[in-house]
Amino acid sequence: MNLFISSFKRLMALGTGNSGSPPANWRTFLKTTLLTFIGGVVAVYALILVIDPYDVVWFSPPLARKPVSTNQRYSYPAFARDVAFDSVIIGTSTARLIKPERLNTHFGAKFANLAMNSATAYEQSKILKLFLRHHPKPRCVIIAIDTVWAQSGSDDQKYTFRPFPEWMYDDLGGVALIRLLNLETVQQSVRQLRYLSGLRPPRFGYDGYEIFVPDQSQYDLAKARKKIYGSPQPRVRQPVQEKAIDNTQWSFPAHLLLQEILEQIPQETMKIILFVPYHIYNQPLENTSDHARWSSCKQQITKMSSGLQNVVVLDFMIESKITCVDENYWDPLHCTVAVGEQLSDLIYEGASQKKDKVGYYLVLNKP
Amino acid sequence: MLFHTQLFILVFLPVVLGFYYLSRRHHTLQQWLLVAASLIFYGYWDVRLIPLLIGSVIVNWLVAQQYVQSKHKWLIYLGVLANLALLGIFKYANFFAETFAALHGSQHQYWDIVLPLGISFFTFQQLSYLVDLNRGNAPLYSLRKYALYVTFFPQLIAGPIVRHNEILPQFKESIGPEVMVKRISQGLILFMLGVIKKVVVGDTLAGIVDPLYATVQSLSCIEAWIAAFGFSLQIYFDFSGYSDMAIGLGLMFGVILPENFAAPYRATSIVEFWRRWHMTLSRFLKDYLYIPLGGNRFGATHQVGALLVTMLLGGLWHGANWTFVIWGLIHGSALATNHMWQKTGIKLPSVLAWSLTFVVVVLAFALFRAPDVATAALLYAKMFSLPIAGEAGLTLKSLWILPVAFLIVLFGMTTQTYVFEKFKPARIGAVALGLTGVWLVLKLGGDFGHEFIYFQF
Repeated sequence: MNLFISSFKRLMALGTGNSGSPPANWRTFLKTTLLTFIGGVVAVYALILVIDPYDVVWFSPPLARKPVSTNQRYSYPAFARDVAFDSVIIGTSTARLIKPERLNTHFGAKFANLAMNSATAYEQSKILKLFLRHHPKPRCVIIAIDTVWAQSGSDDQKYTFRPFPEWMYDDLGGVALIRLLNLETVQQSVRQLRYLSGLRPPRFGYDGYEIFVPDQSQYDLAKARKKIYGSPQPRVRQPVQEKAIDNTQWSFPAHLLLQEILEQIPQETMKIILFVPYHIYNQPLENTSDHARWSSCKQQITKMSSGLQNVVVLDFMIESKITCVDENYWDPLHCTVAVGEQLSDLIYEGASQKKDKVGYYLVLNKP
Repeated sequence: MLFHTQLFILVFLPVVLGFYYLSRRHHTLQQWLLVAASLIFYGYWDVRLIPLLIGSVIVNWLVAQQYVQSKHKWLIYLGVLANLALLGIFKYANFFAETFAALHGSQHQYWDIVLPLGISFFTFQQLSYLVDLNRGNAPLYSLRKYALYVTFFPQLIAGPIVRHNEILPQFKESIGPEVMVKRISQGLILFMLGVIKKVVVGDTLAGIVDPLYATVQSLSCIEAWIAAFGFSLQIYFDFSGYSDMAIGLGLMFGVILPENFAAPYRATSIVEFWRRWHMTLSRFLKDYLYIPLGGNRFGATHQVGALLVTMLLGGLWHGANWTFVIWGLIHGSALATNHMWQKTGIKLPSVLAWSLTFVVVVLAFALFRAPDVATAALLYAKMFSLPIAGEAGLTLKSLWILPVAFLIVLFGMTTQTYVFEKFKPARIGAVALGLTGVWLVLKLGGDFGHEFIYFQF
């Protein structure tokens, strides 16, 4: 209690003006502090707006900016707004090696690959909606389906542990740009400056395509198999017989989002829905609930597409010449760059011919 | 609205301060402005809570008015009861119903009751005013002044718990421009130090503590101790950081709020700890509970009882959970033991006394942080069992903050001492402070950090 009283008295003594330095010092001190603070904040913010590391500031000077953030959730909104593109790929990392350049040649389009690592269905829908807002009549939209679209249950995960800047996916008017005022953006501005001045090569291309797997010269089959099978040697899974499961019982919350975005895409736009090629060892075994879930997911998406025009549903998640070859994979989910390029060709083939290619893919919504 | 957000620092605070000083020749306008700003500050979380706060203020003020006119003591009792009922409904209804149901072997269907932010704090302040009025220690205030006393935003959400006579006379004072400039400057320094304590130290500690508390089942002995020790440091940096911000903000408005922390982890007894920890709460408990309960005036046995009841209720004040009740009882028992020990006249060596005190505080905080008694019991079991080392992924690199924070609490200068006694204004210091402010604003923009721990109370 005495301690309390003494400290309070000490504080009260402040008001008397009898302690401390001459008043003029405090005046100068306060003025200098405020000027430094206000000047500093204004200067940093102005620099951020001019450098515009994420290329989202509508009034920033037109510089040849490169995508800076390793989190594509920050880098891709600029691509989605860029009118240089007329076609788009969305998905997760399993679709990131689909090569826009190859697709451009085939489709006569300008593709941006906006697939994002571990993107949830919600995040994918956000980037596609943004693309559609800025490209009302896209030539082609590719939606790569993997496990995030096949989560069954009542609740759908919106985000991952990676930050997702919602504001970048909305209109950038008003005070939205104040969100750029943070340390991360300062860091990215420095990185952007280094790109602009040529001191640093860009992380990924002008179209979102990035070879995120190691260089092929480092490929080690034993390591890849260790990741695929859990051992350096291939394994064979024994068939199982789980209790029969009624396929109609599955519900996929993400499919509501898929339905919503499919309805937003104009009828004349070519719509390609593809099930990505997981390594066969990672695909569900027949007669398991996992297999039933995936089958149901495929059926429901195929059914969803039946009311749409210009849509093809390609299933690469089958036993195939891609999925059964260990050398095609770095791990159970991610194939090599060469397979990614091959996949680009096969997508075009499937979309234009609309019939199965034995050993590669199935067309689930045959005309 | 949180103090440590860009919205508060770059928009709310400058605007309110600007209007406050622009209207300083018009006291009435100035004070109403501050009340309005405080209501906006409070309503930012949930606009539905504003009527509750306004209603609480008006009802208490009317009770005071009626009491002064009629001198009917029952009005005060009614007012006190109404305040306690408000707390009871919003904070403890589910807790009591659940306990009652458990005693009768039935299940309680949880009522969906929103806990209004800061209710424990603004209700306590109003209780203290009514009691002081009853004791003849308080004047009657106008609605404006009374509303200002309760809602003044720097202390509205989580204290410091102030008395009417500590704060209201200061709004009457006409401080000269020199003192005003000095207070604003010191307020700025204190506020910034508070932000650093909270955001840089407290939240970094939370990054270690939270995952450990989320996986108590799999903790090893060392990890369990790190969880308890880490939280003891976290809650200090979090809450004292908040208090520094609040006191700093008060100073910017020319108002001196009471100190809330004075290096509590240097205490060499539990009695001393409570003189240094959450000082405004312990003062409240002492003046409005412990002393009315008889304090030490009726012998040792009575004093022990008074201490236990006071601390039990003090624990319960923190939240509707048995963890807080037991935490309060631990501290009550420790205080009683401490008082009895003092009567023997035996003095322990300082290091031993400090060690004992610190260990008791850490062990009690382990319970305070746990979501329930079962988790706390599990954590205690882990603290005193094998395996010694575990695999929670803790590395020396990730734990750097623990020794740093510990050294600060043991040997560092308190923020109050630094700002009010040691700090001398100099241009270089001003530039450093301004640049630190820029860095903090940038840091606060990137992450949304953690809310203050005491916001749940």
